[in-house]
Amino acid sequence: MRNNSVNRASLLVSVLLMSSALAACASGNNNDAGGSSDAAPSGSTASASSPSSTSADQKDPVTIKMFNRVNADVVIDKNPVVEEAGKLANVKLEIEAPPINNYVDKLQVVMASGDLPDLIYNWGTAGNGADANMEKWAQNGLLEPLDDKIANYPNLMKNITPEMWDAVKSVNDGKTYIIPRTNVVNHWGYMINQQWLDKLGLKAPTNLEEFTNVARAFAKNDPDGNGKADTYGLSLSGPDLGRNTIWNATNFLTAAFDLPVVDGVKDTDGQYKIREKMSGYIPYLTYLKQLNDEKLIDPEFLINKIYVDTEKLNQYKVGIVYGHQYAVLGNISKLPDSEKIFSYHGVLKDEKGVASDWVTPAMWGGWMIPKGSKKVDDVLKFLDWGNTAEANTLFQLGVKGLTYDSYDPATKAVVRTADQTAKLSTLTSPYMTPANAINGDGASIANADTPERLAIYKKQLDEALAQMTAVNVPAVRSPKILNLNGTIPDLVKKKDDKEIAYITGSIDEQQFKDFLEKEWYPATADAEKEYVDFMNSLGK
Amino acid sequence: MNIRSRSDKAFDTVNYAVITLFALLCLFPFVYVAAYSVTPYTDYLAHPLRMIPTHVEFGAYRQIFKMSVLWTGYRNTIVITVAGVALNIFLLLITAYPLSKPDLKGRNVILLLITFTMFFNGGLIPNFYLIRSLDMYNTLWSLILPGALGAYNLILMKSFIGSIPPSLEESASLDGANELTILARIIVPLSKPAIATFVIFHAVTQWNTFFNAIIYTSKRDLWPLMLIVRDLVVDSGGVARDVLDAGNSGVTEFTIKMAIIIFSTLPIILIFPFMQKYFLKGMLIGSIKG
Repeated sequence: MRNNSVNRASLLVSVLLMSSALAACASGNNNDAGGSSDAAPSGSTASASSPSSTSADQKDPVTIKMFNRVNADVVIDKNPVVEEAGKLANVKLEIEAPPINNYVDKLQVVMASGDLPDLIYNWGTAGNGADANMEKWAQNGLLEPLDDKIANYPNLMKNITPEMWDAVKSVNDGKTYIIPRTNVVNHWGYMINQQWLDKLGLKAPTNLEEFTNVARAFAKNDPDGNGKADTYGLSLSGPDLGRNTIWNATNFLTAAFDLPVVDGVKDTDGQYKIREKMSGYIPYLTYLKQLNDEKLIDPEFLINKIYVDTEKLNQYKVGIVYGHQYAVLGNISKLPDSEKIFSYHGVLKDEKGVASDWVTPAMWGGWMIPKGSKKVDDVLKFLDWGNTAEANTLFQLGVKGLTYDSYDPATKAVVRTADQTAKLSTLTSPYMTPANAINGDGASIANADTPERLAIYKKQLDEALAQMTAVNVPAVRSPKILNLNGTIPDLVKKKDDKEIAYITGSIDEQQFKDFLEKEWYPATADAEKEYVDFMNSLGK
Repeated sequence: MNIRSRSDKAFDTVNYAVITLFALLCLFPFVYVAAYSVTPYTDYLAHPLRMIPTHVEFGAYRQIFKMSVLWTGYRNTIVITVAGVALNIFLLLITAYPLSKPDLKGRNVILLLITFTMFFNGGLIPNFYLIRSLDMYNTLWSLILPGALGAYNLILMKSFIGSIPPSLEESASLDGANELTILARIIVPLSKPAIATFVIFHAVTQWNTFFNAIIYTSKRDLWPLMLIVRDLVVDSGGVARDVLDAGNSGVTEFTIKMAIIIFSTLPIILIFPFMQKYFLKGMLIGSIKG
């Protein structure tokens, strides 16, 4: 009986074997361990559906498969904005847009697969797209060098500055594999509670002395009127706990010490140096120590995650946080009527009365073309159109009649109904733009949907720009200085900890300087030399 | 006569207190998110930990109900969850049952092959190639089939079926039942706790699927709910903000995020209590050696 049963059961074995195969798939389905691939570039697979062309002026639209990073709410299929772009640029756009939070994961899989789209967006880690991934893909022969072609495209040459082109060149072979996606120029400064200022009879500070007085008043004079000493002058935040918040967009404060938060700027003596050797470094940390000792700064300013400072601003716990010209209107999403509560101002002046507005090349990743693609010129032609005001307006505002009624490019005033506004977010977003700015400016300003808001934005920006002196900072392509976190991670961590220890009073100034002299300077000497040589080679 | 000593009572009291505290800690995130999904943001700013709304506002839910992408995600997730669970249970039963027979020819080899997949797999890129070459790329099958039969669950199921007394099968055979009848009439009814457990395990896994969808799909109308939710909720540029702007509703990004989380987890939270008794029984599968 038992054997008979076993024999019958064995009939199921064939199904079982099939199931085993599925089990094999299942065990690894959540494993994200990357595998390598020969990844031989196959060129564009999209070319099969349309003729390849180098001058598609009056020809049938060329199909361009675009791999882009687009927010989830935008509907890609049968999108009228995409269709309109296709008409204007004489292309048929097929957009593949993975989730923005896992964009790099999917991009790496696609690049490894060898089956590459015609146009690939690389987000990059430095904002310019020319990151380690790009260097790796270029070295592996997956990307088309574009140096001998880009000069033929006038809009690319006009809208993308020489600094941007320099910024994306490969550090390995000096070639251009990425067309920068231009972005709006951010003028970093600070956002302050204007209502508190008005209540206390103060003005927005323009130098360190005024700033200290305002911070003190915010912390000590009960600006929220609740009778409790529960407010602070300012707060900071950082994108992650591995990097000190004191260097995250704190231009508004460091400018008072002539201490740039970005590499690529000379010290007051006209020499390039690493930040820790600059004349304003210790004074800046000492000033933060003073703010901390006097309890003028949010006690959690060293550990706040990004946006926590803004939340504290919105909670009326702190009065000042960092911000750029779009910060006040942008904050309307978090706190309605923000423009009536807060105001934006430029960086503080230094001792000489100069407020340095360090402006880095404004890029938001860039576009890559696969090696051997038959559509290089078609894609470049599309990107050339993408760098026009026409394209920028289309991708930022949508289609006239559908997502807005009228638009004045001079004032950027947009008239749209509530229904059109609702449609806009499902049809396009800044993520869709081939270039997010033309000559450093976008077609629209987020939340500037009334003349009053637009006027507030312009007034505050004009005042900030009038106060500040723009300093164009070139992109630093010095691998060693950019990669200290990778080469000496423990010492970088130790240096960060020492900065915090000095600010919080755990060590004194001499102990901190001893650390710099004995450990930090020797360990970074090689990187500093490469950095200084690179900067001097630019002749700026 | 009460034979419990004072120390026993004290121990029970401490035990209950710790367990209650732990339960409250588990409950806290849900209550927090639920409360602030219906609380005006200004109230949250004023009292970030109060959690009991002074007045309730459903504006955030009205906003997210307008998001077609969430409804599409719901549809996809329900499809891959229902189909995935049905397939998973079917495959578990028809695979585990023959493997539970100790004298099945080649049983050890097959078990070895199955166990092998618990420790070794092709990796991300080969799996991507496999899905493409099977023409499953950009289909919901790519989110159902690769996880349809897990080796670990299969071994647990085999152990459970193996613990059912063979005499029950033998008596059924004497009555003329074939293997499929025995499976359907004897094994399946007796395996209900195990099946319920695997239903919950797999349903939760399928409901939370997002990484496979990133790799195996490129069309947005195939995205499962959790992939969309992740993109909406994680700070990244703010679809929630776009929704807010679109509606011009006065509802803030924070409140919309809270509402999205509740909206996406509610079904699985509602189903769990009905399956809990089976789940608790099933948790003991494989814990007792026969």
